[in-house]
Amino acid sequence: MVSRRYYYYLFLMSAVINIINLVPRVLIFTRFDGVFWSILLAVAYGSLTMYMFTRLIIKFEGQGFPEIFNTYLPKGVVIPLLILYSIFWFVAGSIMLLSFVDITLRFISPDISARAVMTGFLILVVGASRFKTTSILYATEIVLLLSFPAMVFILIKALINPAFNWDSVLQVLTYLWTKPKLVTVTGASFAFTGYVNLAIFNRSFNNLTLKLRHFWLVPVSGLLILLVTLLVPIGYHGSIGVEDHVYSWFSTADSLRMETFIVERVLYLFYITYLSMSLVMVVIYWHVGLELFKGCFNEKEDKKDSGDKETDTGKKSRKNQWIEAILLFTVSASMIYLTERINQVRLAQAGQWFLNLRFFSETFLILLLMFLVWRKRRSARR
Amino acid sequence: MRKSLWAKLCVIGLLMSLMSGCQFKDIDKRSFVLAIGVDRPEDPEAKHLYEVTLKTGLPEGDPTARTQESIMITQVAPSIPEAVRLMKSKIDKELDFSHCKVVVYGQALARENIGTVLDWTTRRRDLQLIMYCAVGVPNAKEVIQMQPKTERVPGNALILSLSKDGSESPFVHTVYAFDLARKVTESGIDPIMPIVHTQHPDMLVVNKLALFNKSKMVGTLTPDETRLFNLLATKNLITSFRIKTEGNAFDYNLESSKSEYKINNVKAGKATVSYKIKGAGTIELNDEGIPVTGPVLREVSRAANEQWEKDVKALCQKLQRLGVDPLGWGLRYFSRSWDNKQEVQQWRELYPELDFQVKANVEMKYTGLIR
Repeated sequence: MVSRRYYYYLFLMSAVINIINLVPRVLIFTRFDGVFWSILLAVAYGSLTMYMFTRLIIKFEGQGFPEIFNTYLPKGVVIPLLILYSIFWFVAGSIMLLSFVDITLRFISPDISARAVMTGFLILVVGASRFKTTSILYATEIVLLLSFPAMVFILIKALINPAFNWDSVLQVLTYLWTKPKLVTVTGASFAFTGYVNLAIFNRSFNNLTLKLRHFWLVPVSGLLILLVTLLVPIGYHGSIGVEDHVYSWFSTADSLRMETFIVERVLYLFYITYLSMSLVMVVIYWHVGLELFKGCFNEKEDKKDSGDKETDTGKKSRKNQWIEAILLFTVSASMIYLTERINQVRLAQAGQWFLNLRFFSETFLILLLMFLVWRKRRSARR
Repeated sequence: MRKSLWAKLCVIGLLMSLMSGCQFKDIDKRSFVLAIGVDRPEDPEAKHLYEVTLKTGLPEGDPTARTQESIMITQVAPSIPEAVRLMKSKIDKELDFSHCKVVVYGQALARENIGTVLDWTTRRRDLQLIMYCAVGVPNAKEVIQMQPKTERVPGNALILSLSKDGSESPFVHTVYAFDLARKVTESGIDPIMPIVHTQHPDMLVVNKLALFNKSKMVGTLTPDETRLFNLLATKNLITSFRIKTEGNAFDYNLESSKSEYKINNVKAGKATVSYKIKGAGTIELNDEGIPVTGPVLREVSRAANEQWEKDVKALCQKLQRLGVDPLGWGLRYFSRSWDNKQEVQQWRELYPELDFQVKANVEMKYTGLIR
């Protein structure tokens, strides 16, 4: 069982990771069309769903989705639901992985083959996603704490640089009174999405409580992160030119210079920092996807061992290993296939589709959990 | 047992990712491009072609020994990528652009259009966005080919003189590639680039500024104007100024400086750009050698203020006459105006009628070591 702070790490990790690809793209694309109100709406929606989801799932202490579903839902519903959500989590990780392969090819090594990069990432991610749930949480903390100084350094460096053009930022701010757009809301609320990983990671928490004394930090930090995501690239590439950059944050990092460091380009520091963080994020997503998928097959063992998760994850049955091997092999093979097939435009489209779907599926998850909590109460009363 | 095996594999995988090496080509099989120059060929028949000059350095052992020679390659082609591909067959080593630090636009090309070259440098993935951009006079090829005596590492003279890493000249305005690119697209601000001109036999002089109307060079600033421009555009400019007072002349060294401006929209159809420039100086030279007392110091300050007010106003009016906006007045106007539909049109009407007010406040603090 882990301390409460790991819950906030899950949130923080996915919030800082969003500046890599999908979120800045949609924010920048609608920067003249109500982006600021969309961000505010997204902050409200994101914090609210995060609060509700967490309040609901902590009613099932120490249990993940597979255990909860298997207890309170009929079997015919459980399996499609778990498989659906498992696919969802795998897709989330895959989009991030595909983006990072693309970024690596673009900024680090144009000559290497995409498949080689993908294989390298997959070895790490597949291996690590089979770890114990709690180990992944510890790794999250370590990577986040190691990356944090670099992130703060890059941000401060970006903001105090005289090349940062505040007039461009203010020019975008004068478009405040425009109507918010749904795509921007769905995109921006992605910054808050770290909490859904409780679907499996709830197994590691048994004393999770939400105190408003701490929780107010979530909307505030979320708002700041989203504003930084949008405005810093605008300060460097201008209110119009910012749209030309495919990976606006990587271009921003490339526009910074560390005069007295070993390497001059901030890009490399930025790349290493965000590579490690997004690989951990992919590990988290795939771990959830894997565990959800495994939940379809061994509901009995789960019920039996639900009291003692630590030892259960320690010795996995042979059947489990086969399921894992087949699933991870299939996913990895399709990833390697996709790296060569997918292009930049399709990846962006797929990402936007994913963001939109996620927005609505999260609402559905909350309704589902409400229903389950109601079932639980009723069965407890009996 | 299985678990620890996986853990070991992961650790090995992580460690392997640290071994970057030199991809698939060793460092001795590469030649590093350090500066690119793009020109229009002199031949009038080939005016639509590009003449690309690369200054490349070969990796060698000891960087302190002055044995490093740079290699120039020139190629004329219909486009820059074509030229680069053709150059690849002129050299036995793979051209590596990842250390390229300077792009020099030939004067003729700059007067025509920099858009195509700029697109190439920002789009190409291994070219940095923190490259220094400059205009080469008489053309980029000669600037690139110049080998100053102070150059220890190929291309370094150009890099150091365009940046603030080496000598900090008040006549140099460093322009990075991302800065150039954003100013070309942004409305209400125009690009600028320092001008590098060659002085034979072996000198590169950077003391002028090229003014662009978006992607076309339309004028230049003299060294004095460039220094004033830097005074307006940067904080704490390191420079000295010379002023004449009644019967005497002084040089003062600027210790600190700061300039701010506001656009006051007095009434419809009329706007004023009012600059406030603050500074503190030290007397560096006193021509006649008469003792510098308190009143003299105040007199020097007053004269310096007058000088700045007159010169800065003249500079602003020159920019206005050329129809360029390198200081971003338009962007400032847009960023303070909530009327987003009309503002561009409004500014277009306001700009030719702009009034300039300059309030200088430079104070002489010290007389130096002697009175």
